[in-house]
Amino acid sequence: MMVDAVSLSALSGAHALNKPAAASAQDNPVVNFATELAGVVRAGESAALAGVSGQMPMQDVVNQVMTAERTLNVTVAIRDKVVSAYLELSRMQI
Amino acid sequence: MDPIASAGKLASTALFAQSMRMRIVAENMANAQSTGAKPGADPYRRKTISFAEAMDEVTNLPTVRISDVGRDQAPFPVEHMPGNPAANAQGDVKMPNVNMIIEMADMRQASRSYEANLQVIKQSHEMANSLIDLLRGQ
Repeated sequence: MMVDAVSLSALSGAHALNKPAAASAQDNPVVNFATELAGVVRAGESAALAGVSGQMPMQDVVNQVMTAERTLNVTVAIRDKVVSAYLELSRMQI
Repeated sequence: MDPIASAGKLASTALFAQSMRMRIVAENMANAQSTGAKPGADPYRRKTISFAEAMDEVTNLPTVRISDVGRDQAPFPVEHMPGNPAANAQGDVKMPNVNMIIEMADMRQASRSYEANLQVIKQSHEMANSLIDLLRGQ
């Protein structure tokens, strides 16, 4: 899997997802993953809002927010791995 | 679906079921002295709750749902209270068939089941987190 600048910017923040993705990034697993992540986090946020206004049972809210948290944790861990891989590359002797 | 996430979702539906059970207990306890409005009228009838397995169509998980909130058909105890508006010609009043001891036991059982399912959520959260920590190299 190639990690290019487009997919890295998609990983770094949700704002990049709102823009139409470049044609080459359409089938990129990293972009797909980031889109999926944004969806899960958004579901967690809307669940939290619905819980505050009493439209959703508290148990469902907690479950969705915890799912969002877990997804975010996985993403952060993977991002750290990618960044450290790039750091290793930049430290390479030329 | 990820088994650890499934465990969390299943336990959260069970938490909801036990919360509903707690609500029914609260309704019964609150109406333990609710008599009828007219002479000879029936008082509050104790509510019962039962659960059933429910297949979640999206995730295909055997979650739990409230299958029925019914009424306890046990006979009403009769007390002699001539001053009560629900008293019949003999001064007898039908009291709700709510037994406080049964309600307390039911409440305790709901609370224990809730705790057990909460523990499932806590434990699955811990398992998922320690797995993710592997990625972080800790």
